[in-house]
Amino acid sequence: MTRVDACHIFEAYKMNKNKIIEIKDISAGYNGETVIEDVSLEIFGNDFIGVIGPNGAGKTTLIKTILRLITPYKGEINYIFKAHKSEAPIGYLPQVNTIDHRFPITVRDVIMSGLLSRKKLIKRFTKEEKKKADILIKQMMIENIASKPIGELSGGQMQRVFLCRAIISDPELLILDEPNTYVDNKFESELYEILKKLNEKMAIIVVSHDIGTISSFVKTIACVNKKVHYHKSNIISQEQLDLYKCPIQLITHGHVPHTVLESHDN
Amino acid sequence: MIELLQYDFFVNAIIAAVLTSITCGIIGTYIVSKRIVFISGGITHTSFGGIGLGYYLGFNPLLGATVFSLLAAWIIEFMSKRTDVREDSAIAILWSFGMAIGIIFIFITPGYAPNLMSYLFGSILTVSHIDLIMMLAITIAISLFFSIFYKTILFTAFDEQYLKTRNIPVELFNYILMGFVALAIVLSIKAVGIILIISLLTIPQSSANLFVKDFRKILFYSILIGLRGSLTGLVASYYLDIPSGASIIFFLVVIFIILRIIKYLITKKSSF
Ligand SMILES: Nc1ncnc2c1ncn2[C@@H]1O[C@H](COP(=O)(O)OP(=O)(O)O)[C@@H](O)[C@H]1O
Ligand SMILES: [Mg+2]
Repeated sequence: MTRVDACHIFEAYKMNKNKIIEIKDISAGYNGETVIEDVSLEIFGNDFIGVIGPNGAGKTTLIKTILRLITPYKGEINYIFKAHKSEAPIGYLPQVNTIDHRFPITVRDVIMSGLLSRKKLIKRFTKEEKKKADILIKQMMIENIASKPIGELSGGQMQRVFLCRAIISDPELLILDEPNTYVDNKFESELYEILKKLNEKMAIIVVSHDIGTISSFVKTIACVNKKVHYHKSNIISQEQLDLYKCPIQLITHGHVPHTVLESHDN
Repeated sequence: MIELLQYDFFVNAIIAAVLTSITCGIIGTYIVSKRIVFISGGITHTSFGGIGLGYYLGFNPLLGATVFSLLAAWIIEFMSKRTDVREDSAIAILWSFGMAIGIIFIFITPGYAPNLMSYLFGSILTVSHIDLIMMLAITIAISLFFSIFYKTILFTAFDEQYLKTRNIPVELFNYILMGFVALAIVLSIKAVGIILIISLLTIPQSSANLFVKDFRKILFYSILIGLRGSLTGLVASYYLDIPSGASIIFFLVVIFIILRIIKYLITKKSSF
């Protein structure tokens, strides 16, 4: 795929105008300190955005702001989802280290927790909802661990479980925060195939420190380093990264399928 | 043993032990799973301030303990949401402040404080009818709340952030649950006393957790283990004429050690 193609595709789906989130000029952070500044971004229904940036750049902060876990200091975010507001149609896979792996809860319960909503605080889960979990468990090929406590899972299995939790509610937007840490290469490539499939039904934002691997899957790239530079293509060069003040090295390890990274010479 | 049941005070003690085991089984599982044992220690010791105040002003010390532990629980919950406060240091300050207030009030109260030891080390053999009614009310409230909101409580304890993204009123649940933690602590003061409460909330859970790794199972096994330990401890304290609170904890630890050995033997056997 050439860069022209990529831009063309981008323009084509932007025409659809199925905007789901509109971020206008937000600044956010913790305890009065600004971590991300003057961020504006529009997210469309079939986007597949790769969010990159060095450690501590504010990638997670940006995501938490979108998820309304953090209230921005200024600016506004508009949600234009099809679902009703209280349905919260965003699936979220948090960064691995934010979860207590020794908590006494089974895989099935973790997955079912993705279906909890304000309306269901008291009610038991219905047969249909349990069936939905069963189907998802089967699709993700984790039947053998479904009744195990999460403490006994490997890194890859864990991410499968949290991906199930994130998508069981059929969200309109799926956000993954570094889903590729602590997992083996096999799972990583599987994950991206799964995401590609899911992208037919929902918008996806995936945070990664490894631009080499994600750039062949995502449609666009957001470079985060306090400010956010939205790069409307999945091809990015070292000069552009430098221009965006995004100090990341373009290192590709091993064979990257249909590499879309541009080197200095081209 | 049967002849013990003709004494009212012993029947009351058994009822108190049962109620305490149920409440501590439930709340302890929440505390241990969520890793807020230290917070519970803070609430427990802060409640001593309320006991001292009760002595000084002449009202039921347990009422003072209720007010103080509820306040401590909610202050700690409030602070834990602020990232600019070192939560553990704040808890330590509350902990010792509560103890200090308690000691000062008891010191300036004229006369001798006869029941002081019973609040520090428990005296399940002296529970009154009013105590029992209060314990029953707390046990029913906690059991009802947990059975109605079971899955929401479990999911909130596991991953609060995720539930927030799903629009669940997590904060409200946290405050309610911390309130119940405080009430469970007050309920246990009579049984084992301030000094030993923390073990009533953690030993049954650690014992259960040796064999089961699911919240619901830990909760039920903890109640059973708590019942076993507290009833055995109660009877032993009567016959051996030793303090009931210490006796109960002693037998809970014995149960833990026995279960630990059983687990060791099982895993050793299966590794052949
Ligand atoms: N809960 C928090 N309280 C205070 N500061 C935080 C918190 N979380 C992150 N930060 C700070 O915000 C900055 C950005 O963090 P983060 O968004 O997690 O970066 P990234 O995900 O890009 O690695 C870091 O300097 C970090 O120390
Ligand atoms: Mg991060």
